[in-house]
Amino acid sequence: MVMQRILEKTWNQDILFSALVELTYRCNLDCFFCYNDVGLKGRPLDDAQYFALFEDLAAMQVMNLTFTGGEPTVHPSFLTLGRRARELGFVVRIKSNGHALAGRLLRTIRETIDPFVVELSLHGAEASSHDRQTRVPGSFERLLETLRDARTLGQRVKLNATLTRWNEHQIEEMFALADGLGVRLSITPTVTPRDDGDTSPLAVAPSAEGVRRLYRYLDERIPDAEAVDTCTGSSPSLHKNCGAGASGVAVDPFGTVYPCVQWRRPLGSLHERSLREIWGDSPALREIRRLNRRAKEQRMALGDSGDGLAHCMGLSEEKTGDPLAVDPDAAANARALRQARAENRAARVDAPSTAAPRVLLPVVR
Amino acid sequence: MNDPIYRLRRDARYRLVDGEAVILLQDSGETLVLDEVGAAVLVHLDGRRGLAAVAASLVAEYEGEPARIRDDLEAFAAELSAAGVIEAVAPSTDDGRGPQRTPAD
Repeated sequence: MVMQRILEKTWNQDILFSALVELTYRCNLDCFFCYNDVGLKGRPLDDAQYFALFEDLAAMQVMNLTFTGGEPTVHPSFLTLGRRARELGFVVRIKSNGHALAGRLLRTIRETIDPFVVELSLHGAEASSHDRQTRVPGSFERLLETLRDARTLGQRVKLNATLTRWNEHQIEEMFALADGLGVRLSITPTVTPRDDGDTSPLAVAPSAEGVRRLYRYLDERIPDAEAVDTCTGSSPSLHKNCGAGASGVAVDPFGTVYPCVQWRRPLGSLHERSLREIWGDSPALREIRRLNRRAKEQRMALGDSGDGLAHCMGLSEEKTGDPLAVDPDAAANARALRQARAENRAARVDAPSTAAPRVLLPVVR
Repeated sequence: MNDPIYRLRRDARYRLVDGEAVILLQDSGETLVLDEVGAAVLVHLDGRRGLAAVAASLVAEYEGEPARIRDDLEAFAAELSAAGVIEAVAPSTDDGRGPQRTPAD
């Protein structure tokens, strides 16, 4: 609860608390539904520019620094940048596919960067489904090897999965795999277009039945969890829809700053201005915050009919051109969530469970 | 130890948010929040100065009776130490970590 209060403060008062840095779009896997715009061109930030960015963020009291990509560990300066992040006292998160971490690299990361968590991508409960999505044979076994090494090293890891048509029949099995490894797993039902607008990833978006099954299963694990999505907040004390441009920013490999990894509306370039300057007086950022407040007002006006709605403004802007328009897929997911909860409640009345649920879902990120 | 020196523990990370100190203990995943006074004290526990010097700084910052401030500081440092946020440093120990670990160092 105390962290909830702090996060509310950062959202409501535009206190930058979390930064996500896409170090590179290079990757050693080839996931079918990857959202990265791998054709994006520009002048990559050099190490000195990253150091300046990190020092700015530390001076601004930003706590969370996430390295992602592409695959961040293939950036030639990954360890150097990670070491500097550690020196500056950040809580470092690394989002990786886990393909090349097993063995020496993971050990070096732990010793050099000391990340709070390494988040790894899971695509299925077995090699056939996982490797189908990554399009790299053997990637499932490599991921398992990384997970085993992480346990040996005592490195905290978390698994992230996207529900797709190709893995939606393995929801329980993916959780069983994670449970067996003692690792937390988050599954999102949202497949997004690529950042260049290419909608081909949506071909593997999960079926309505798959989404409903996911929500039923999640609700069985944590009955009536306050929030299944991890980006938006329903609390009336939050004055914004989400943390985009309020408590968080994202930076692409070429120094362009965005309000969020999903909302690709440029706020400025680190080749031209510092993050501190962009955060302080970007007209684009002021507009983002206005829209964020407006989206929250819209959400509150929906009342109970908006329960479970995860309105991602970035995704809405990408799919409809209007960040305030509710994405029909998000609305459908919210209905599926409400239906799943109702079904579970009815089932619990019929057969009350005595098993204590395991707490696995974060309320906020 | 007559005048203990404290520093942030290796797995502790903190930032100041609107005056409050938000602390994450990485090993346990536990989060703590200190109010503005607690945050101001935490910043002083830098692994360089003993509690007597820290108390002197606090006396200069806050109006109060020096002995009372010193007593409160010792109690607070003991609490933070028990919570796993800070640790005492033996003055003669050189473990290669340097004297302090603060967010901006």
